Amino acid sequence: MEGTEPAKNGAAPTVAPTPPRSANQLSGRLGIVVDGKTIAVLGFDGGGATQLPAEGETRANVFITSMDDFQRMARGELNLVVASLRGGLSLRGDVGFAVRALRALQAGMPVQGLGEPSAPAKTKETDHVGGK
Amino acid sequence: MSAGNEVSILDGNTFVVSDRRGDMDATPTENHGLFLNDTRFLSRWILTVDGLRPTLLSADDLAYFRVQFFLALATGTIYVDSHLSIVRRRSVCDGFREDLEIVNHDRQPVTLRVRLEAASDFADLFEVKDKLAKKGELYHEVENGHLTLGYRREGFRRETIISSSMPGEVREDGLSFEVYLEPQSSWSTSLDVSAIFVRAIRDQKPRPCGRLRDEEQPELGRSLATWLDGAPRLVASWEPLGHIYKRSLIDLAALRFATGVTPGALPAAGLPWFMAVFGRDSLIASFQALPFAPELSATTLRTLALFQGQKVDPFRDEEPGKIMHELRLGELTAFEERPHSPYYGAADGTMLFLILMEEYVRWTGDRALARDLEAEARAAVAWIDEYGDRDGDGYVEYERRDAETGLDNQCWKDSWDSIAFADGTIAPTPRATCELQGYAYDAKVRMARLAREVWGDPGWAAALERQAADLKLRFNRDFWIAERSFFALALDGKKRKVDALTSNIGHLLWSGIADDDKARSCVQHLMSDDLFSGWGVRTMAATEGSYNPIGYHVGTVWPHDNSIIAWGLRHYGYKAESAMICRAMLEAANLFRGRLPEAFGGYPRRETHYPVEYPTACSPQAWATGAPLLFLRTLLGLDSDGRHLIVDPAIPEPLGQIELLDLPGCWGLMDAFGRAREATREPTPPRTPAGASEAS
Repeated sequence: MEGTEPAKNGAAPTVAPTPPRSANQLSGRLGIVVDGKTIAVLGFDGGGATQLPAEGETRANVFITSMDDFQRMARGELNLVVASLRGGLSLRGDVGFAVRALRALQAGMPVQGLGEPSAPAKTKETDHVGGK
Repeated sequence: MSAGNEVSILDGNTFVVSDRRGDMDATPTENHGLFLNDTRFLSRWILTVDGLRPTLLSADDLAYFRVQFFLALATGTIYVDSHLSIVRRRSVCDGFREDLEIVNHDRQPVTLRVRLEAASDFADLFEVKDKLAKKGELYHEVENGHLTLGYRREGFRRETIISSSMPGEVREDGLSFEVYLEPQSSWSTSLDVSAIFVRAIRDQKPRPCGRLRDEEQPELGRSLATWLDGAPRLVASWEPLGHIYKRSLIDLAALRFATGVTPGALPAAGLPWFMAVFGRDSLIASFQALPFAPELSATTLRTLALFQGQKVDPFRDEEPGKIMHELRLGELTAFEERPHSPYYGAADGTMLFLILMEEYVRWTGDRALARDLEAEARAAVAWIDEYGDRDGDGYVEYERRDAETGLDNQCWKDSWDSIAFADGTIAPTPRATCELQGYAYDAKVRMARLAREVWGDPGWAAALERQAADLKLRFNRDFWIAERSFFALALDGKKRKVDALTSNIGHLLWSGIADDDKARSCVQHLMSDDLFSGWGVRTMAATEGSYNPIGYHVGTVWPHDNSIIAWGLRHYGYKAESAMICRAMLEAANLFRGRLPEAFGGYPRRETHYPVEYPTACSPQAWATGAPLLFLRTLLGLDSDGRHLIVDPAIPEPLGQIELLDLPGCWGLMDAFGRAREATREPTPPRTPAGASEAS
């Protein structure tokens, strides 16, 4: 449902997201888990994200149905709330960090290509599933 | 919480609505059920004993999250006492637990068939409200003594699992128990009703639900008892004030909503339809409650910052820097049949976010929050000029981008007919309502203060102050209706002044955008019989073409509106007028048994001994709940200069003496006292009242 529209006064469409605002406050490792396997860990430290070996503790994990969906989400094409409500996305661990990280990616934070599937990373987490 | 024939218990955005026996039987006219995350997980829950529905003896609201129903089995005649007592004790969490106890008081044994009928329609709240049909598939399962009621639509799957601590017969439509009771003996069972989000993702456990809500539950932060103990203590010579204050604190506790994405809880908007995160409502309620529970403001600000708009999305009315309006979690949101994921269709939320941020920092001294949210604040300020001002005329205006699902009015008066000319003609969009300009002015003044004092950017501070001064100059020129001596409700899409006399002009006093002479005229209008009903300031004056004393935003009295107006009157030095509104509203609150509703009728007080209820008002509603707190702040003239508590009381005679003890703020804890004496009418400059004294 997302699309383009003139921003104001019939001017050119504004679709480019603003630069990540709180990126400099993000610090931690985010695991991306597809089909039970951690396929990537993104390290956030200051203004950018770096792909790290898919091992070790993470601050939070993103459980998602496919890598394609993750990439769509990172590009801002898949709404986080919609994906969560439809059962295709779940966050565990420090959910606040996970949401900030995903929102930063959606806002255009640069990140390198994602790695191959590997063994699940250990997550220092408390259970949480979206919503309340 | 009881209202009419319904009993509601709630915790965050989970609530259970039943009749006074504890039964739930949802119909188009009865909104009964177990609701969680905007979905009804149980629509039918009916207790029968030997095929009969017990009769009600009493229903006790033990706490907002717990209720017990005392019932008896009727004998069919008043001459024969019932020998069976039935007690249902219900507690809410992410579902609910019900302890059912049956006592045989007879000298004979008895065999009973106890049955609980259960069903769920898994309706989205908007389907309930708008009577829409389901698009997915309902199913039932009976397994291991559990009844599962389910619903699936593609990946959207929700289940309600019902179990009992005592063995019984479990069928697709409920649970039954054969109960043999010796004389003077009892039988009981605990029924767990758990609401489950079922996810397709591997390794993902179903969401644990159905935990018994108790007072030690950690995720809500402070328990109710701790919450009440932690609030400032009120000592008031006018006895009802203590009850009103405690009612507000309890209702605010009930409306606390833990999102899980930020620590703490923020106020949800109201029961039953608005148990969700709302930008405007959460911001205003947090503002009202700031001197009493400042942690609500911090959570509200951090949560809304997290969801700040990032791009232009017409479906959601999202724009970069904009603060969200409403976040919903039901099926219609999941399938993008509604835009609430989140929806950004509010033109005032972004400015209110900035206003609350500065107020919070000045009150608490928590500069770390301002430093953490500096980027979000800058983005919000940029939104005012880049997107809030849609056409470059220097004013914030709104017009929905999606005609099918967007809100037509994106100010607090969001009903379709609220922005009208004096003759009743609806103003065409885009609409620049006057209070939006006041908020924009106030937001820039406040951000200038933070820029200078916290962010170390005096250049930006000076620029913001110049912009604010320019806006004030233009506003007092362009919105003033000289022939009627008040500010226009709005400029419409053709830049015409929308000339209805409304309560919106009171918000301009809060903002400080009105010139002193024009403010004086507005005060006269606000306190005239046309706007002031005797119970409060009406949303629209009785003289206007659209006026209706029971019209949602065109004649009713809104407590939160009045709390903002009363606070604004204080800013311009109109202590007596402010006190008059506070007194009238608190007297109304007393007649509403301590709880002000969202809105009530605008009938003149001289015609009604009691304020007239508005038929579909939310209650409790967050900003109505917060209104008495802001009235208290107003009566005592409480403010902060960033270091000290300022106390400048103006209390009308009937309210006598008011003491608020242990007010939290940047000063630590401080006490404030005030007693009635003749209020002055000497104007005082905004936020630094003349003659103000520091607290004891």
